[in-house]
Amino acid sequence: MAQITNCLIFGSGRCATSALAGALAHTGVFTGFHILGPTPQQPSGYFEDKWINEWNDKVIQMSDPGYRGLFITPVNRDYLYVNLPVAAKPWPYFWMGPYAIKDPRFAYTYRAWKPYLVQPSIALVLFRNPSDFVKSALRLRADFPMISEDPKELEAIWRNNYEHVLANDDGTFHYFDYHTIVGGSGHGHAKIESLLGYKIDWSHIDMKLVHAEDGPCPEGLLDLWRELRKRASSG
Amino acid sequence: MKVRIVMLYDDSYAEAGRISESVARAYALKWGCDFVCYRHALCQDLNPSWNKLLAVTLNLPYADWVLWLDADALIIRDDISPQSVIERFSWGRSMLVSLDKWGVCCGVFAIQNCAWSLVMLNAWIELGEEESGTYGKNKWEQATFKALMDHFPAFRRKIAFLPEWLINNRDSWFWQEAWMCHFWGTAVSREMLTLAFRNIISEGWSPKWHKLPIA
Repeated sequence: MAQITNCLIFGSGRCATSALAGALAHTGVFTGFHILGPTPQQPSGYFEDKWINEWNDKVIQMSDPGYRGLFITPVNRDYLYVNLPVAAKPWPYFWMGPYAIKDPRFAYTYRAWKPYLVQPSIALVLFRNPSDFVKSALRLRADFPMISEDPKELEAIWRNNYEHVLANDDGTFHYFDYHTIVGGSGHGHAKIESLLGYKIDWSHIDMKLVHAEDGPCPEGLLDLWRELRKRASSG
Repeated sequence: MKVRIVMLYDDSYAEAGRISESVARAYALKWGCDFVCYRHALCQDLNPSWNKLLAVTLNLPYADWVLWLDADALIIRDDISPQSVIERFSWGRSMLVSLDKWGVCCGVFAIQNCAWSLVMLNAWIELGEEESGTYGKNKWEQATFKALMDHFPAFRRKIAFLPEWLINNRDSWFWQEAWMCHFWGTAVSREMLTLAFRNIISEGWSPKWHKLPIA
């Protein structure tokens, strides 16, 4: 096995990021202090740290006052990045190696976190077909009614997230299609184990919870979708 | 891997402590662990939270790992072995500590029988109370531990963690798969703690007994 490598987990949400973070957590990897637990639509849990979520929300709001929260409003497309407040340095999270910290908001705040990462550290970017993302986000409204019910707005959330991911890609990003994590092919699993340098307990992933619909990609998102797939296949 | 489970509580936890002790004792027997429980302080001059360090130090030579349990921590699932938890979460480090939303929590920890651990436990005891108040209003051993974590990188490189989803607490999310729940006995009444322990044993682990009301 290679050297053990830390990671951040990126993705729009609803694209197997929780499945991956949960598998890593059950392997013994640190995923945060105060972990978001199960909800009816996500009975195996989210494996996101509540403090990191809140922190990233505040950081995004500092430069995009119109932002009201993940899945509620799209982050302004012109949003670039800001530095984290000095009083709230995130370094305790990175003592607990190996770590795998997940938050869809990292797409916007990555550059603020980057100086604190303990090397070696990489980013695992998960994605799925945007029309499936929209369907999944609408299902999640059963647990979180504040989620936008406008499919166009959800498509914009998906687009803006991955546009920022691509803009922030510093060469340490590795891309994975949803199906390679939860599809049972094992292709994504072997590659992630190789990148992170340890064996992962994948038994946490409950295939009964997988919704692999593969609807048509909206025309306006095709280029971005193709770019993500290209990066996944070439990585 | 030989594991020794160690507990200590005084009369203030007598009723609830008897219950968590009996659960831990049966659990130890199931997994081939030694079990030692002190029902009194080993040093009357020290708060029970500091007495735990004496109890762990005394028992460390007799096992590969000592697993410490506060009396307000109840084992929920006995099908998870302590050996498997230590193997999974230690990553080659010498001490595993539970976590909560405030950071590390010394209510449940495991420590390896090695030279570093003996030196560290003695240093921890000798350092005594941390006085700044930065790490909590109580001057327990946990505050000193957090100060060591904060200021000494070589120290924290020896520390691994036991996550909140594995060891729930009253402020964590409810996880059905939790191994234990640490109820923060100073925050709830002893009567409520005892009632919760009895009901979890009879009814099983459920959200009903997860978030006990603050006393």
